Amino acid sequence: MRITTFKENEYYIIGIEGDLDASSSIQLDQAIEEAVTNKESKLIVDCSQLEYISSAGLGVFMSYIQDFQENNISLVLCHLSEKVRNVFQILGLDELIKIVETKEEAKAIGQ
Amino acid sequence: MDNKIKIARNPENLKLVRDFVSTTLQNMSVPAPEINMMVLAVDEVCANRILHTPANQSEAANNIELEIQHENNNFTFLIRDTGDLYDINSHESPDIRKLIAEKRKGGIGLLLVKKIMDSIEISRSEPYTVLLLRKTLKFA
Repeated sequence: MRITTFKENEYYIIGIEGDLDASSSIQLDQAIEEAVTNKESKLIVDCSQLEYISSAGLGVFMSYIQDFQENNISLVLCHLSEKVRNVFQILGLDELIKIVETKEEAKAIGQ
Repeated sequence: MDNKIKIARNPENLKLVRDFVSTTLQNMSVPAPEINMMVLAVDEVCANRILHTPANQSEAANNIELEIQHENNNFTFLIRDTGDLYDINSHESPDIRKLIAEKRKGGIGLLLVKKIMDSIEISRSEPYTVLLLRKTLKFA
């Protein structure tokens, strides 16, 4: 798995490429942690190249929901494949984490 | 066709498990959405066995074996290793909102497995712990 991060205006984009599982989820956790340390407040996770997610990946997103609500940090996921989105839906996490179709929609939510 | 795979207990090998389950089920003409769910369930159980079982000394003891059996629409995934027996079914399903409030990263893997599979059996047959995940598919 590969993580790329970059800024687009005020948005902090995290791109995930490959499989997010028990062996790789720590990389995503580190990327989000780094964004928080850098006081980023508008995070967009681009999942267009994300091929697989297991509970380890879901758990990383889940663990930040509370902190982000308390600290007014927005986290929006975009470009999920149907396969990946289905995994969020099994436990209803798609209703607790903001998921949209495109990066433009993610930016609109983050404003 | 040989429907068995043996991997060393290392999280890096979970990709091998997923590819094996996916390819085997594709060869059995299982539809993609059902394959994706069963791949996830088997991955979760194997990850659980790898991450929560203490490492053993001998090389043989550090393996996980997976076998896929099927008869008509009934699929059984047999997962066997020499790790400790942990009764998955006695594991109380956590409340997602409670996990979020506690900022937990773990605790939902087995919940996913229970949602996906019809049943999970775990037993001890020395020197092995054997898990049987069963799923009956309803093809259109």
